[in-house]
Order: sequence, then C-alpha cells, then structure tokens
Amino acid sequence: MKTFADKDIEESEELLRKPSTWLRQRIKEDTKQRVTHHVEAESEVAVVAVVTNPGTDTKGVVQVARDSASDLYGFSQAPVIDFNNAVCGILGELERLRGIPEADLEFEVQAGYMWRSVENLQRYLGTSPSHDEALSVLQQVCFAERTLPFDVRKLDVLFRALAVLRGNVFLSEGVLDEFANVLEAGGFDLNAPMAFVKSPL
Amino acid sequence: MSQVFLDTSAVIDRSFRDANARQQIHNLLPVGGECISSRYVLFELARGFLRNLILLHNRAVRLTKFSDLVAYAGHSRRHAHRLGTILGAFQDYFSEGLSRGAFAGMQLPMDEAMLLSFRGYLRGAIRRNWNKAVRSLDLVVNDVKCREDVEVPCVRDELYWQELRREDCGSARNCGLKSYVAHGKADFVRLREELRNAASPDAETQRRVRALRELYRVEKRDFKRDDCYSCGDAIIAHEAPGGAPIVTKNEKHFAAICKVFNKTGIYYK
Repeated sequence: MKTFADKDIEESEELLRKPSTWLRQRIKEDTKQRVTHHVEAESEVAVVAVVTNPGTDTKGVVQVARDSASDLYGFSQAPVIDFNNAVCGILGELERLRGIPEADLEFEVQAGYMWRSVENLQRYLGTSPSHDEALSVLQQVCFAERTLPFDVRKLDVLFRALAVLRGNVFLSEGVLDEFANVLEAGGFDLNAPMAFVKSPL
Repeated sequence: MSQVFLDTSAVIDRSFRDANARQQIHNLLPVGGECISSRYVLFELARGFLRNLILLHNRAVRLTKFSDLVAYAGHSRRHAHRLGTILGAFQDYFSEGLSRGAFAGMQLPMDEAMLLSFRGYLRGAIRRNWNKAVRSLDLVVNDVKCREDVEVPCVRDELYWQELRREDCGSARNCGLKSYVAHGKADFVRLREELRNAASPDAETQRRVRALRELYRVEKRDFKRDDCYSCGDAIIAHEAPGGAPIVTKNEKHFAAICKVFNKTGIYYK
C-alpha cells in the first residue's frame, strides 16, 4: 500500500519530469551559471534530481532538463526561424511523397511519418500568438485526418498551405487567413473540435 | 429563386461548427436557393455566442493553464452552461489527441500546451468564422433597423475587441424596433395572447410574454434592451420574409411563434 511519503515522491517526480515554464526557465538560468566553465559548443547538459524517501532511505533519479549549449547560452536560432525551417522540412517530405505512386503502400507509410512531423510542430506552441493560431489549425487537420487515408489531392492542398507559411517568418493575419483558406477550400475541417460539442450552443 | 431564412442557431452551426454540423444545415437548403438572414440575427450572434468566445479568448490570455480556464468557467454565473459546453468539447478533443500521442514532441506541460492551443484556435475562429457568417449570406434584411455597423472583431494588445455599443440598444431614437413592433402590433398582440395561454410556459416564454407588451405599448418611448433580447425569437420570425422558411434548431420556441405568424419552420436537431 502507498504511504503519504510515496504519494509525495510520485508528485514531486512528476513535477520534476515536466516542470512548468517558469521552473524550467529558473533551472536553465541556474544551470547556465553553474556550468559556464565546463561547456563547449557541442556540449549537452543534463540536469537530474535525486529524490530520497526519508522513511526507507531509497533514492530515485529523475531527469529534469537536457539542454544543448546553444539552448543555454542563446546562440541558437530564434524559434520563428526554427519553425520556418521545420515547415520547410515538411514541404520536403511532401515533395518526396509526390514521387511515390498513390496506389503504392509506401505512399501511406511515408505519409504517416509526414503526419508525425506535422504533429511535432506542436513543440513551437508559445512562440507567438500567431504561431499558436497556425499550430492550432494544423492540430485540427491532424485530428480530422487521423482516420482517413492520405491522397495526392490532400498532398497538394497541404503543400500549398504550408508554402504560404514558408515565406513568412512573422505570420500576419493576412497570411494566417490565406493559410486557413487554402486548407478549408481543400476540404480540411478547421472547426473539428466543435464535433465534441454535446449540447446546443 | 427559393430562399431560406437562417436564425441565430443555424448561422452559428453553419459558420462555427464542425464539418458534419455544417453538412446537416447544407442538406436543409434548397439546391441553388439563397440563404438569407437579418441584421438582428447577426447582432444576436455578436452579443451572444461570439461574445462568449471573445470572453474565453481574452481570459485565456491572462492564464497559463487550461485547467484554470475550466475552473474560471465553472465559477462564472453568466452563460456558465455555454462556456462549459465549449470547454468540455475541447477537453475531449485534447484527450483524444493525447491518447494517440499527438503531443509527444511537446516540451511544455500538457495543461499549458492545451491553453495555448485553445487560445490559438479561438484567435483564428473568432475572426474567420465571424467573417464567414456575414459573407456567406446572400441577403441580410433589416426591417427592424438593427445595427448596420457591428464591427469586425480584431486583436489589439493580444485581446479581442468588438465594440457592440449596447448602450444604444433600447433607445427609440437609435433603434427601429419600436416602430417595427408598432407596425406589426396586431401580430405581436396575437402572439402574446397565444403564449400567455400556453399550458406550461418555460421561463423564456414567460419573459417573452412580459417583454412583448413593453415593446408595443408606447411607440416612441425608450425601452429596456432586455425586453428586445427576450423577444428575440419572435422578432426574428416576424422579420423573416414570408416566402422564406425559417431554418432553426430551436423548434421548442419557434414552432408556436411560426404558427401565429403563419411562417414555415424547418427544424433540425
């Protein structure tokens, strides 16, 4: 049976595994100061916490953060550029998909990897309100398409929509509207979460 | 050319809901026919459903966790049901995403990510769907002389703004409702009598019975805006052009009103 101490430890470990934005920032600042003299450009710094159960004296180790030197010292690229590069990466994946016949099983297999790349864009949430808007749209597209096979028509629509984002690092309302319009005109549902509405609005 | 008149519930479902709900409305429309509505309906949308979305968006800007937003909605005394319905839908949506690993690459705690995603959704949906609601109508009637100038919602300093100038509501000088109701007084008196005699009227109908009288009593006197809002369904149904059936989800209230005004209703669930 779990004791109160066990529950406390579980909660602490959970908090340490997924620290809040504020805590993560504090840990980053603290780490920066402590490791300054030991870090090289290629270094990766892992921060771990040792959690001790005072009753049984057992210890557990939890990884709290893992940062590259560039993450810590700010010579990484701005997230808006990173996001744009990630979009370009997906456009490349779509381009490669185009080279596979739609009837080929491999088309669907590769499409699965492409969708995962689109889902992984969610790591840019919080970059800016405009980026959150674009990411929310893409999240809905992933949701709406989760049970449907991919095809060349959808590929074209997704390609055209992402191409709108590619050339625009700072996403204005006009760009976001164009991005959404291309997807919507192509048959993607951009109000998909409203399908979960259970009573009249 | 055949026309159908969309009430507020139909305009919401047609512009703000998911593909299936939109298709349901689409299936009710005559092929090649026109979709029409009224300024009154658009203003009701702006001060009701859209206002809830703006409230949720702007509150989400001030919070860091989705669970805090849910707690806020739970404490809200105004439209708590509608806020809860929207947030509940997104909770289910996010749960579905979590279960298939859609957020696997996320570096943020899920609660924070959900809030950012929800805010991102509203940021686009408020602007785009409002424009869609207005622009997708073939004709917007305004015999009531309700607001012609409801502004497009826009973001300033991260918050959504849409000036409604509700203080103008109820002013006989700024609003044509009193003259409109006076012009159709016989219809509204008949409706009031009919609703008064209904077997077990609900709270909304009781409010309507009280408010109708206030609206047709003295033509040139200012009135309480709540009297206008309480008579919404009656005003919408009366203003709908005769030959255009009224598409609405609200059969409960529209059925009796349409019967008195000799209008046809197309009801859906």
